[in-house]
Amino acid sequence: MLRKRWRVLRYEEGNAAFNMALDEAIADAVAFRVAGPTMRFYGWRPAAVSIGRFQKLEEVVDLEGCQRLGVDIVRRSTGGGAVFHDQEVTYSVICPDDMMPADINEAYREIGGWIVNALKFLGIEATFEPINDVLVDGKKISGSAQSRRKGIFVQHGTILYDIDHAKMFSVLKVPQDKLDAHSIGEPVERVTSVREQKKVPWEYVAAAMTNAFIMNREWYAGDITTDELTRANIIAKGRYGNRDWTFER
Amino acid sequence: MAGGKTLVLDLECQEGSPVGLRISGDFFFHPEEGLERLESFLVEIKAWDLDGAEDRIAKFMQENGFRSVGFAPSDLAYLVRGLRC
Repeated sequence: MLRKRWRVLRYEEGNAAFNMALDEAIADAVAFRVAGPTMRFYGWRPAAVSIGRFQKLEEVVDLEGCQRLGVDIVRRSTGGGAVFHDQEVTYSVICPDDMMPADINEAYREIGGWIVNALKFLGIEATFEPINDVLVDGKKISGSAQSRRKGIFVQHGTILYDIDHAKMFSVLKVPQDKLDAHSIGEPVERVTSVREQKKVPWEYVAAAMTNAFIMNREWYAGDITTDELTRANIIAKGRYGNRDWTFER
Repeated sequence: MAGGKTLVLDLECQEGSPVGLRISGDFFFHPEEGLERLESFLVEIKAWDLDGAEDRIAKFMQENGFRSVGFAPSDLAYLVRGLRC
């Protein structure tokens, strides 16, 4: 399982449609065996809300708030919930699915363990919480979403570095049943960030994530290929930047 | 749902009869494209009027290699039961 070398891409920032399209372009490249298993670390400029593949946009996103604050919106190809991407590090793990546990929940647990290790490197004690969260003192600091298509495993997720609570809850709507399910009164009480736990520079988070992800794995520092970049731009335009896709549900 | 995921069903009606069903929420469904087929299947079998919908849903998902995370066929059967226009 660990015999394949991982390509590790350096941290880059992109807009919402491009970020999602690049994950898909890389997955295509891995599917066609022109790229090996890949880890990617990235940020979002401008800040953005990504919603799960099956969510109803207007129920979980404050469209007016997004417009007012210049926050992008994108529908992911993966399931899961709405996420506000601002001060965080996002990762993607893209590989042939035989490199990951066949069981979906086990795969979440596997990469959840990498995130727990990354936080441990920063001196933060965290726990993996099924299905797809990592918590610190019962508050969410990281979430992930997974997909398997054409024999390719894709999981992307985030570690929150810092939170502008006012901005976050100006762009996200949290359904009451979600709050009830977590027995928490206010959405702001449900999330935490690295900065709330430990005053470390942002660069430490990116480094800790990279170190935790490559631990005990063969890897090399690689680049996005021209083909992947070209394909990502086409996918961004045709799908993730397309209003029909965003408003699909 | 147990585990904290949300599952919402919307019934589309025409002249008082169900013609479509939309499943939404923050769950996971693999492969993602399969959810639309499940929605069509529920309409086809008129799941809202059906006894034993859970078994039919579970069988359909199994035969097609569909997997859900965050809800089970029993959750879907429970929600769909008795839906009316």
